[in-house]
Formats: sequence, C-alpha cells, structure tokens
Amino acid sequence: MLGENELSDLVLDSQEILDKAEGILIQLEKDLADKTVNPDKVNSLFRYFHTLKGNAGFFNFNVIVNLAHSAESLLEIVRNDNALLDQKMIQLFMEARDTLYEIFSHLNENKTDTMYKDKADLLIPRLFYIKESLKTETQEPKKEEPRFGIFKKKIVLTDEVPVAEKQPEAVNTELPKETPPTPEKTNSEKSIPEKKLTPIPETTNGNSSTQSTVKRDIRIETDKLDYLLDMIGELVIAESLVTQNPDIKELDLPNFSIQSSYLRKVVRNLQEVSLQLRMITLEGLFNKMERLVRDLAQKTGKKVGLQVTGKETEIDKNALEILTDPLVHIIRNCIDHGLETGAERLAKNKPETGHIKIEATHSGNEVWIIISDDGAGLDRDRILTKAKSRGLLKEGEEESLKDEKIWDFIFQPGFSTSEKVTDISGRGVGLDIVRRNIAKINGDVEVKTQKDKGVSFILKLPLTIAIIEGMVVTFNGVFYIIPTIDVKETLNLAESKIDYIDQDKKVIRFRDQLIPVVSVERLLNHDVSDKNSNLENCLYVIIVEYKNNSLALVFDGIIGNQSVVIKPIPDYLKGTKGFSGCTILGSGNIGMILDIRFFINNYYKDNKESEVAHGQ
Amino acid sequence: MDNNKKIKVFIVDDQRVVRNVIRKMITTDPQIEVVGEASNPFEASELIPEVEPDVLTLDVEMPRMDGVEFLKKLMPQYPIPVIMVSSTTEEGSEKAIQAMQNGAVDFVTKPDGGAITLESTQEELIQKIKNASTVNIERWLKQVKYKSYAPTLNPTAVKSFKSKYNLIAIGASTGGVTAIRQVLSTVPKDFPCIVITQHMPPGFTATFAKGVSKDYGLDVREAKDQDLIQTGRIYIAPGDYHLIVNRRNGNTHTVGLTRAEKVNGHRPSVDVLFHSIVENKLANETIGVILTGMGMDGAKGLLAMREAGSRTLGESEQSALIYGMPKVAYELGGVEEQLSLSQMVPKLKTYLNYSGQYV
Repeated sequence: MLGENELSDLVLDSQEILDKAEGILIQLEKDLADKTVNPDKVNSLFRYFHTLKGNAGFFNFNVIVNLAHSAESLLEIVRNDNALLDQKMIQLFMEARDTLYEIFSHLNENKTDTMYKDKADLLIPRLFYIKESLKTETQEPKKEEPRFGIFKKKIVLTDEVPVAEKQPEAVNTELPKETPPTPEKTNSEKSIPEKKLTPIPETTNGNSSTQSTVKRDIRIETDKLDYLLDMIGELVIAESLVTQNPDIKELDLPNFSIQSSYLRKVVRNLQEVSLQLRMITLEGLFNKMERLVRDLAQKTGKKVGLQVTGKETEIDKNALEILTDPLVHIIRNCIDHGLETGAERLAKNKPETGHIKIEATHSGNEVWIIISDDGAGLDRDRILTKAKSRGLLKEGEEESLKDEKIWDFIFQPGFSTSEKVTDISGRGVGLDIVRRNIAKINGDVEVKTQKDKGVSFILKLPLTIAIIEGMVVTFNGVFYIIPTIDVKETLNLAESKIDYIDQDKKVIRFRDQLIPVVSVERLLNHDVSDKNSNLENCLYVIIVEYKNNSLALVFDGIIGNQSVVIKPIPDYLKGTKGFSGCTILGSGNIGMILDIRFFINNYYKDNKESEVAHGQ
Repeated sequence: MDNNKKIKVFIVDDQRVVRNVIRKMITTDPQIEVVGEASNPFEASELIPEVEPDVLTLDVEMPRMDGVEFLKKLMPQYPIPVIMVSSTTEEGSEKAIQAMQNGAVDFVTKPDGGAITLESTQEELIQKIKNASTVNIERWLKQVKYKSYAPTLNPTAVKSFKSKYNLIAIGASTGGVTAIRQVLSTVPKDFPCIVITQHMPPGFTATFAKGVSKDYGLDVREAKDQDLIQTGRIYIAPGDYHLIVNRRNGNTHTVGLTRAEKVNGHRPSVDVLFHSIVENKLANETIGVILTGMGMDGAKGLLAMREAGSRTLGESEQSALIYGMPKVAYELGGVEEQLSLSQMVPKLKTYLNYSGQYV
C-alpha cells in the first residue's frame, strides 16, 4: 500500500530528524563538559528516536525500529535522571544516529533495512547493556519514583473539573452569546459552522519559546523548484525579447511602452522572489561541520573549541551543495596541520585548547565564509622549498614574491607540506579542489596567515549563482559577458594607445603599469595570433584583474551593464575552456560569459612557462 | 449516516510521514475521505471549523501541545468524535487513556514492528472511524459525569454484609473507558468482586487499571491468572488475553487468562467471560452488565447468563456512546433492564441488597 512517495518522504523527514539529533548530541557533549546538561535537550533527543521509531513502524522497517527503540529506552532512563548521561553514552547515541542515517540514506534504493541487521545488532546489545546496568544501579533507591511520577500526573488531572462539567462553562465564556450550546437538538450541525474556535493560548512547556508562530511550510521537490526557476529565467529573457523587439524599435508606441514597463516590473519582482526561493540558511552545513570538528578532535587527540556564527546567513542552494567538500577539506587542514598539539601549544605560551572559528557574513553582493584557527600558521619556508622542488618557483625568485603569492601555492594541485600522511589529510589533494569547487560557483578563496597566530581561509561566494552582473561587449560579431566584479577599468582606444613590443606582443600603459593586450579569440584559441588587422576595428579596452594580475582585453563594442541569467553551456561547447556559462540577451543573441579568472591564471602561467623555457 | 455521504476525516499529527500513511490507509475505504490535515493543534484549531470534519484522528504525542491538552481545549468548544493515535509505550498508553477520559471516543496504536502491523492498524482505524462517525458526541459528553468518590461511612451499617451475588461481570467496548470509570466512580470499596472485559490492546489495560485505582481508592488490577475472586477486588482483562472465571472447590473462585482464538474479532472477548460464568455454574450468583460498544460481543453471553439465572443490565440508548452491544443484547432478550450509567450502581445496590459500610 505504501509506495515510493511515502518512502521518500520518510527518508527525507527522518534525515532531517537525524540531523537535528546530531546537533543536539554535539550540544549535549559540550553541556556535559560544562556539567550543565539541559533536560530539554535530553528530552528532544528522546523524542527524535521515538519519532523515528514510530514512523518506521508503519513501513515495517524492523531494524530501524529496534535500533531506535534501544536508543529510546536508554534515553528514557537518562531523561529521568540527567546525571546518568556520560560521554560513553553520547558516543553510543552518535553511533546509533550514524547507523540510522546510513540506513535511511540507502532506503530509497534498498526498500528494506534488513541488510543492516548485523550492523544494528552490534549496537543494540551495547545500548541494552548500559540500560540494564543503570537499571540495577538505580533500582533500589528509585523504585517508587517513576510510579509516583505517573500518579502525580493523575492527581493533577482529577483535580481539574471533568470534561462534561467544564463544558457549559467553557462554552458560555468562549462562544458568542447568540450561539448558546443546545446539545439536545438533533440537527446540531446547524450551529457548528458558525462556531469558531477561540485561539488556543500557547503552552509554555514546549521545548522552544521562539516557535510561537505557526510556520506553514510545504515541501517541494528540488527538481520542480529548479524547473520553476529555470522557467522564470526564460520569462525574463522572453520579456526583453518582446519589449525590445527590433520590429518595434523604431515605432512610437506610448501605450505599449507604459504597459511593457509594467510587465518588466512584474517580471523583475517575480525574478527576485524566485531567487529568494533558492536561498537556504547555512545552518545545516554548519551543524555538519560541528560534528566534523568534534570527530576530528577526538581522532587527533587535540583539544578543540569551536565557535560558529552567522548560521542564519542564507546562500543559494546550489552553492550550498558545492560548498560542503571545500569546508570539510579546510577544517581537516586546520585541525590536522594548523592546530598544534596541546603540549606544543603550552610550550608556545598558548592556551592548550585550540580554537576554530567558522563565521558567515554578508559583504556587498557576496557571502563570506571565514574559517580560522589559532594554530601555527602557514610555514613560509616549507612552502617555498616545496614550491621549488615542484618547479613552481626558481631559486632566488622568492625575494621578489609577495607573501600572498607564496600562500597561494598551497592551492596548487598535489601541493602538501605535511610530512606525514594521515588518514585525515596530507595527501596533497584538497586545497586545489577547494579552489576549483569554489570557482565553479564564481566564488573565490583567499588565505591569510600569521606565524603562530593561525590561518584564515576566506571563501567569497556570490549571493546567487543564477544571475550575474555583467558587462555585455562584442568582438568580431560575437557577444561576450564579462562579470562586473572582474572589471577594473574601461578605456576608450581613442584616448589610450596600444604599444607594440613586437609583432605579436602588445601592451597598454595604465596607471604606470604595462598591461598585456589580448583579444578574446586569442585567449580562447592559442593558435590565433593578434595580428594588427585584428585589432584595427577595436574601439575599447577593458582591463580585468584577478589576484593582482591584469589583462587588457580588446573589444569592438560595449553594449552596457546588465544582470544576466546564467544558463549552462550547451554540450557541443563543453570542451571549450574559458566560459562559465552563457545567456540569451534581450536582442535574442547568445552571449558567452567569460571566465576571466581562468584566463588570467592561464595567461600568467603560460607566460611563466615560456619564460622558463627561454631561460634554459 | 447517509450511505452516499462520505465520512469526512481530519488528521492531526506532527509527523508528515504519519499523516501521509494515515491518509493512504483510511482512504482505501470508499466511505472515508480526508478533508484536512494539520501538523499541530494551532493549525488544527484554525482549519477544523472551516472544513467541518465528522471525525478527527489525533496524535497523542506532539511537541508544544500534545493531543490530550488539545482535546481538553477542543471538546468544550467544538465537540467532535476523536480517535487518538498512540504508540504502545508507557507514556503513549497513559496519554491515550487520559484522552479517553477527556472526551476521545477511541484510540488506535501505531504499528510497532511486531504484532501490530500496518494492516491491523489500518483495519482497526477504518472500523473505529466508522463507529465514531455514528456517535452523537455532544449528548454523550453532556451525560458523562465522574463523581470523585468520597467514601462516607454508614453509621447503621453491619460490619460485613452478605449477598446472594458474589460477582459482577461487566463488558464494554468503544466508549467503555469512560463508561467504566463513571460506574466505578461510585462503587463502594466493599462491593463484591467485579470482573471487567473492555476491548483494549496490551499495555493500555494496566495503565487504565492503575489510573482508576488511584483516582477512586479502589483495588483495581489488571487480572493475572489464578487471582482470587474476593470482595473489593476489581479485575480488568489484560489486552490480548481472554478473561474467564473458574470455579474452585467450595466457594472460592478464581479468574483465569487464556490466549484462545479471538471471539467476535476480539481478545479479550466479553462473550468468553460471560459464557465462562455460565459454564462454571456461577450464573445465579452473578450480575451481568453490558455497556457501550460497537458490534455484538457479549450479547449472546449475557443472554446465556440471564437464562441461567443471572440478573442482567444493559446501558440505555441515550446514555451509551455507541448503542451497539447493549442494543443487540437487549433485542436478543439478554437484558433484564436498560439503564443510564448514573443509574447503574444504585440498581446494583438494590440487587445486592447492599448494606455495606459506605453510603
């Protein structure tokens, strides 16, 4: 009777509950360390396992039912006496939680939980054993107490006026006078429709006082949401295709203009709302990181304090998905390499407990996620040595290098300065992937460090990845979009002059700097050389900058600035590097969104290699 | 109820999964439709007057405000037949019983991965929704009255009174938790032994017994095999066991428990209890009582008791939450007299010729 829809709902909701359980467990662990266990948290945890058990029961998932039941039974004892809670138990609950999570993660394909029976059977006796040992410990002095608890509730109940006697009184005071209770009349349905329930006062004994407003959430499949957002993107494009149609461009249409500007306003609002739909808070992600920090601290035996701020910050849901791996990599690095051992820290006159800070803030059109530790900081010498050994740097070259450039080496593929490879990190994969992932969503990573003070990784992410502010330009009849964020300056070639170093090498002088001048075609295809003729029609130069490297790109036309909806690159162009997407412009033309950061990185890397080659 | 009209059900449960499952379960029956759902009492209190359901299913355990609290606030303002949905835990059963005392018509248990399966819950819930839809809840609520029993000693009473009757056997189903409570609330401590079969799942009967025992200062127990029939004792059949009465040598009798096949779809079954009294030739010292409930369990048994010499009482139509079992019993001729709940104990006293210590 129960089909795939019910099952996938079960999985989704259960995973949500398990995520909450994880958060509570981490908090309880901290509480335990501070010796201030909050009974509400224990109760919530009990509820979570209880609910999981109840829900899974409908589906006959007996492994889940039994495992959740074992955890629930132990918690039932603990919630009556919070002092019984200890670290070992939390660890066990955590394992139970993880196992349940694993089962649920595969439930949609497996349709049954029987294959996890053995795994659950490893945990159930351990939970049972603790429960039984607590029972015998506490049974003698406490034998009467739970019973008394039950009776106490009953006394309260009977102290109240029983339902039937309370009824007339309640009705009289709470219902309007014109509908007096007439229970004896048979067609009592007549009076019911007029009745409105008086609002029920919120009870304060709930687990959270902040939940006083009823939130009516609904769930939507992400596919449907994506489709909706896609369609709204199309609508934005269609709107400009119609209102800026060349057929009516020269016509004087006052009424049409008024109505089309109204249409534009509605479409823009719709687009804004739709962008809001994509935004979700970082809470879930940050909670996962809390768990990670906890687990890593245990594994490495380091004492780690964690501070998390800005959980409520919202970010595009697709960006959030891409963010998980980079955050994990960075935090692993911080704990494994960054933070010193307790003894080392004490020797350096630092507190024994290391600190990790994860914070999220808004900065203009970006969300910044900053992960910092108060560990040893990056080791300049070791990075330089490694860079040289990997041929990224020539002997003696480091003198002229700014610190930022040196720190940047850690984002190179295969670059690890860790002497030992642990199962946590040190295999040299990680930070390059971090940068690559973040770049996928038009974000950027920066690193700041100070010796013995620690490291900060700053992830700068666009608020939305569905839309980009860009400058629309043309070159040889093709439309390109340059992300506004990368544009440093726009120059008119009537006023600035291109200098020729040789036939194939041109530069432009800009604020006392010589900046290489290239065309997009050259950047996209190395075989094309920018002969004089190519640039003759060019009227504009746009200076783009990334990490203190600049390029001057030449174009023959600038259409203007606008926000464009990012669409994926069609399959037949997938092999071409240098585009981060494409869009359809108001004119109906296709515009290619340029990946300026990729160009700049590539250009400077290539040139360095060729210089190195020339030098030998 | 009009046969063409569907029963409109409203579901209150904090778990979306459970709401989905309940909806799916009950709408397999063509007579039932789900007109609304709410994940908490606050939402429910807004929506219920709008959609005017016939029956409410209500989760016992919910955060912020649980089902019992909601019920207490709902029933005086908007009387509606409510079926509680409960887990089988101690806490769940306790709250379910509380809910029955606060106007809920009935309850079902969620599947527990063991004996209670999805299918059994489904069947039970559909049946109970249909039963509940026939109830005149306002009339019933109005006549339900518990008297908190304050025993008053009778100055002229004899130390121990003797009666022809040593046993009172009561059978009930839907609405029985409330009805039995109401009857027991005025039963004196020195009444003869009372044996009760109330249709209820395991676990809930113990909670029920404990509650009544505490509230009315009576010796109410979930029956155990071989327990003695003696003055002042009240035995309730445990869920999933038939309760019977056995004759021992002389004048001592005991109760017994069996796990024989379900009778009339029930275990415990009222008919099994009543027939055991006849078979053991105890009918002429027993008073049989049949209270509210759907179906016909106990009707034949009561007739057999009456024919073998028992006095028999049935709950009257205007008093019963569901005038089903008492009706069948009456129509078969098994009921000597039909009475409302409040008249039951006075009548029993007359039959017993009660001259005990309490007034």
